[in-house]
Amino acid sequence: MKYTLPRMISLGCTLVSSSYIPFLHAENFVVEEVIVTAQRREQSLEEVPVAVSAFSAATLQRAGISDASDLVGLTPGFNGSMVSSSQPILSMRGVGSNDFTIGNDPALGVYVDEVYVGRSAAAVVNLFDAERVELLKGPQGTLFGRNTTAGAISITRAQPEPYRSGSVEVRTGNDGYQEARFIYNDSLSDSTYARVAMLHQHRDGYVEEQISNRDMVDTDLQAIKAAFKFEGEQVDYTVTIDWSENDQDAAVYRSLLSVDGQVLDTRKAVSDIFNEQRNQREIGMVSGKGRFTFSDGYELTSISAWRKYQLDYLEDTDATSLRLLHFGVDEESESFSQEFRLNSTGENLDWFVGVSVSYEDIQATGSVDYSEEVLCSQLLGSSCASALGFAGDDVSEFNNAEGEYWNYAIFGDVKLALNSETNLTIGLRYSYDDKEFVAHNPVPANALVGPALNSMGALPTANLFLIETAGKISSRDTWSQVQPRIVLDHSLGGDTMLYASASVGYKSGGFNVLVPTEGSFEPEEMLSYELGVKGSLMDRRLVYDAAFFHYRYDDLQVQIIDVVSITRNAAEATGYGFESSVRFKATERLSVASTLAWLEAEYDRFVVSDTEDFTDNQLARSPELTASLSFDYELPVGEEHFLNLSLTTVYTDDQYMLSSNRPESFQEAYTTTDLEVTLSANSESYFVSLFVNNASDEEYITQTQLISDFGLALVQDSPPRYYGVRAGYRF
Amino acid sequence: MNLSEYARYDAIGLADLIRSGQMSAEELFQVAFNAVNLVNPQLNAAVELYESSAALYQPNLEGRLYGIPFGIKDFGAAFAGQLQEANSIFLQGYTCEEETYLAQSYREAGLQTVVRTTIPEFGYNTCTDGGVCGVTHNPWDLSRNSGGSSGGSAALVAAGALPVAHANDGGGSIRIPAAYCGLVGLKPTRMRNSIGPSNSDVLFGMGGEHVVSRTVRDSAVLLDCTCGPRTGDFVEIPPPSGSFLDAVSSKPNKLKVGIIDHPWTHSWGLSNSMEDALHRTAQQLQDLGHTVETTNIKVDRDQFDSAVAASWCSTVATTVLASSMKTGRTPSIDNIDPAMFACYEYGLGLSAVDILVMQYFFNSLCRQVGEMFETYDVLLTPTTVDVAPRNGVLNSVQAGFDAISWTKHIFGPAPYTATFNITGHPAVSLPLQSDHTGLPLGMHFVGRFGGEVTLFNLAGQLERAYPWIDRKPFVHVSSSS
Repeated sequence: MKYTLPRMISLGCTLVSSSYIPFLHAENFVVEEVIVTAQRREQSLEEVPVAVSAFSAATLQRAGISDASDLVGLTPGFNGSMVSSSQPILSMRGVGSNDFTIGNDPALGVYVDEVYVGRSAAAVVNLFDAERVELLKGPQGTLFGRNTTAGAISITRAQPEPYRSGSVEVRTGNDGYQEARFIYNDSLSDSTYARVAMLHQHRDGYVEEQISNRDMVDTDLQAIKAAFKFEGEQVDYTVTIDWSENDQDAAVYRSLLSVDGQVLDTRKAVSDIFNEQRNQREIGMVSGKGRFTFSDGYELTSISAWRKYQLDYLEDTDATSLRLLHFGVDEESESFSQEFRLNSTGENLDWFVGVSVSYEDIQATGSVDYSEEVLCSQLLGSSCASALGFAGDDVSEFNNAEGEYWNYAIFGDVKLALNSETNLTIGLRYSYDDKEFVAHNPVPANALVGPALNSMGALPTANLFLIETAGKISSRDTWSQVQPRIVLDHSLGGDTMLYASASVGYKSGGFNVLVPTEGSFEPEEMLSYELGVKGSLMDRRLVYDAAFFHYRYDDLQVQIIDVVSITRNAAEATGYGFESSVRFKATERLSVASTLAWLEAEYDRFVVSDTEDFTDNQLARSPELTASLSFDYELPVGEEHFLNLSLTTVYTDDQYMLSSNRPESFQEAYTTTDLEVTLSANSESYFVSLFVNNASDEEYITQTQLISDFGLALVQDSPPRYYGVRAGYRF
Repeated sequence: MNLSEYARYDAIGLADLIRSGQMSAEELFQVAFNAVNLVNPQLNAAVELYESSAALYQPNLEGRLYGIPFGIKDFGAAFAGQLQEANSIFLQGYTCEEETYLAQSYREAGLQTVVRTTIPEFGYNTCTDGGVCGVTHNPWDLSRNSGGSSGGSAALVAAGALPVAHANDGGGSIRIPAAYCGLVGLKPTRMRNSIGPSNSDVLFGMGGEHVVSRTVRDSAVLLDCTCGPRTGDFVEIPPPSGSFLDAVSSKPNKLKVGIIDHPWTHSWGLSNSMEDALHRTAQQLQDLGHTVETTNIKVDRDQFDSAVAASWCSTVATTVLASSMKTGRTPSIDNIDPAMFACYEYGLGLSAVDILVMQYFFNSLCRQVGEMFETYDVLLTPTTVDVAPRNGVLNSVQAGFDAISWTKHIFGPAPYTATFNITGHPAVSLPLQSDHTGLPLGMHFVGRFGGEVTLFNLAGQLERAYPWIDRKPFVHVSSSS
């Protein structure tokens, strides 16, 4: 007899997804179905003609996944790491960005409950109380909006439910790891429900600073979410209030160069500002989402959000014991957004239309701190007095920037059933950006070396890093873009669906914040094609998906980093490849899942300067092959418990961390393995787990920075093996 | 002259500029001084910079290579009055009283010495790491080593700061850094260059001195300037049939090349990249009309390690003892790195019988390799098993090594070269290949005893057919200026 669980929508129950497998009882001898909203409508994962990986709450909880970067390796085509909590370097199919200034936007859009939270410093990539995470690959401009050329991460949080429930989970492990989660849900009346979730997360650092012997790169996060939902006959409205605070270390780099002839081992660093460096961020958000269901299948959705964040960041960019190059930023942003969307579901025709507007007011003060004496010694080989005739001082150059950004969009999507097997979907979004920007880089009053070298004609500017401006520079620019998509999907009978799609995505233009004299840069655009198949076999004991894709990236915004980053539309790139995933219930007790991604992504044109040409280079962070394999075995223990043994191994191929493809940025292929043993009650009301992440303690680099003017060669090292215990209780 | 322009010339090219009056020697010295200063913070390749060309000696104005900037390795050939400290606290402040014959040849050729270059302590390492100076970084990848023991010379020449620099080789110390840094590195036939007057056959004949360079012709012209016996040399070998420089531009006869891929001594194992590179080189040789055949060398690996350790460690022990008598210092773990101190103690403990056993082994290897040259004109092997190792891997500061395990450790990545120090054959590493990230992979060609002319014929032909001169490391005077 075939057992198939009914379709389950957003109840936070046991839903299986792509590669990690939650505990399944023996009688569930099929792979469960997952409902996603990748096309802004609720559909089964296997019916969505888009390459998307989805992870349910149970999967995230089961695997101990805390933030989106933990999904790297389990999601074919997704790559990256967290340089620091305010600097996630994430990429999809080799496309991403690492410009964290306020004048730029990321290429991978992050949405939380359909609210765009894209700016890197505010990107809530933590998956706390998430009901579902969907990672959509390729341009999602039509469905999601601007700044989704690489794709989109859509996080749907758990909604208040009309019954009492909750959970407590505690975690502890090596390196001072502590985590506590508390979730409580209850109904306040027949139609009003509330849900509160709290998170405390702490982990000591894993990089040993050599001057202070402190452990750096720690994690310290507190977050609270409170949601209230009113559910009527035709309307439901949810108000969610979020607050989170990080107080942890900034990015910490290890220098490849020797000091006194000695090089540092991995996971060691040197910093003269080990006490002052910081990464403190506070984010608040209030969002409201309402659905009004009319007769005849129409549904109107309103999504409103107000967000505010503050960031205070200072890093030791030179990674030495000298005050050579310290970058900092003080950033504050307030934003509003509103979207209205009308959905209609019919027998042969599904469509939606919508309008959206968003506004952001952002200020940032960037700083570069250095010692003129150190610079004289490093660059001129002597003290400032000997070289220039006067002693140097400790200097901070500042960049004061403010921006006001408006975005308006009107969009629509129509899915037409051509016949009982074939559907045609056509979507269109018109997007208009209006951005104003003011920046001022003064010459510090106590700067001596820069002004002296400038007056001697040895340097073209008085400032050494943040090129000075003559007063405030104001810019205003507008860009508009039409982003179409077209999809044809065809059912081959049974569960098998073939699809072909073409879509255009774009990333907004912006401004060179740190070097305002460089002006603005234009949007970048991507045209992508995809051919895919999804289906199941053996009475849904095996579920699979596979997609071939090809994209062409024009006017690519690239960062020319020479101490300070300058963004220009200076490159074109082409990528193509294949992604697939398989989930298989091998036996009643054994589940297997695998993913495979193959990617070829190169610059067709990228001439940096007369002496540097990155044409034909591999895109940064685009390993040719990534693959994962997961096993989950369940066996009963007594009458009331069961034991799960799970193993996941992820292979990541050779890759470069930099577009220059410099050997120092080359990371050889590596494999990581996670193991977990979980004892649970049959009722799933409690569990206790022992876990090991990165069991073999693989060491690899996650970022490289090469600043040739200063002879700086820096890397960031991966975290070590983590192990510990988790225990939870659910009621 | 700006640095990009400077780095485009090899030594012969720069000599032409001076001879034609386009540049003065003083100007060229200053350019080279600035170039070394520019890249050294990243490379850590310089022990001492000389403020002027007359700081050590007055270069011969009539010299064939008058005015060419040069680097002198901190070991081996030395000028009178020059500090030579072998990267050891134990030898800090040690001054050479007497000019060696090779240094005399450099002076008479007119070279201007700009810098004293780094080595690993006492030169017994295939990476430049440890000792006083520590790591010398590879300009192709700063996270990797420049090789040893002529690491400082190789790093500066590869980075374009110098056209040529002094190097010596008692187990691979010219060829290994040349391979890692993408340069030409020839170890000449034993006794081709005199190592007198204070030495006759250093390391029981394993040692030889020459240079690392970017072009084959520079290696050839320098050998023309320095080769030849001196009065009282232990052995005089027959002079070459003609000038080595002329040999570079002469097409070789069709050569029979014996190729050996897998190492015959203890090693880290041949990497896939290097194996592919070797096969590509074999194909290139065939395309040029030479025949290529596989062959092999067989040795008892443990006996090999013992013999090399005996040669080196007895020499280190003697050097330390002699220096101790001059300086009055007592050698200890406080002034010599642990691995080197273990070698010193091992050397002290060797008996005359141990040395004779070593020589019997050397003899058997010489016979075997000598017979191979009755069949082959040239042997081809990889210079090393892979690209340059990461920094910190071969560091003599590490404790826990004895002389034998240290010998195994340092020759693990470079098992091919020391055999031909023992046999005395000339051998050259050429930067013919690179791996997929662009890091150099050196190809190692061994000629008949006394057969440098054939090696230069072949090297010149390969350089013309498969040029490497436009490949530059990222740390280079032209991109750093």
